[in-house]
Amino acid sequence: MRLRRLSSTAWELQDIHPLFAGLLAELPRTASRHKKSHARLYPDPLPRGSRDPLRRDWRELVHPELQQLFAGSREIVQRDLDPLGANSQGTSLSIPTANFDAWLNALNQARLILVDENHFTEQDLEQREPPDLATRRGVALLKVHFYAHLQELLLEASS
Amino acid sequence: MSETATITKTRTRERMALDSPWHVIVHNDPVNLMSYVTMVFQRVLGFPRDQATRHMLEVHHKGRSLVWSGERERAEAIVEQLHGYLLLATLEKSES
Repeated sequence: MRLRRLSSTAWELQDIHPLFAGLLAELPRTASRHKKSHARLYPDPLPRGSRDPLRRDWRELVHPELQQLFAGSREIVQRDLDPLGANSQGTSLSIPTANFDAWLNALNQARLILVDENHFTEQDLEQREPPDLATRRGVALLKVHFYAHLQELLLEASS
Repeated sequence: MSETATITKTRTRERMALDSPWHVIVHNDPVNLMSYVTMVFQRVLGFPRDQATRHMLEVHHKGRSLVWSGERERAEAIVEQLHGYLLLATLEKSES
């Protein structure tokens, strides 16, 4: 899989293996599983033990704004992904440059959720051996790495 | 909100502004990519690439990096932006 510039306003993910096309299609759904990983996605703005009232204000005022931001990113990615299903070969996907931030954000949401749900450690994330795809945990680790690879491609393209 | 509450809040804010500065601390997280964190520091804090990379490495190796100090309201706004990028950031009052 590679990311090629199509024009000044769009890039194209090319040669997407069907397995990875499936993982791409799952991105918005995975990134929306906020309930269990709420503490990581909406972190405390203060160190532990602080009694500052900011913590309450943050929950009431900032969290809704973050929820909106995260949902907006997922919606943009979902719209970009729609043609993937219609493309019978499923091997390419156009991504407007203007949507890169939304992609980076949705990919990060999904990666944080997958790591949190599966209790992956730093050691798990750094292991070089391919994950065991016969297990749910192995598939989740593959997704974490695949989404990271996509983030790297987008960061490289936007730099 | 009552007038008394408004005045109290305003005075509290004024006192806070005169207080010792607030720090924005970014904490390590094994999930966020190094290149992503560098990009966020450049965007949110306006750091040149070298400085952004230095702070990213400090987060990676030391577990945390002080990325900004100053008035509380601005510090809150920076932490909110960093949370929008899904970085672990906190607001801490300077000891001095």
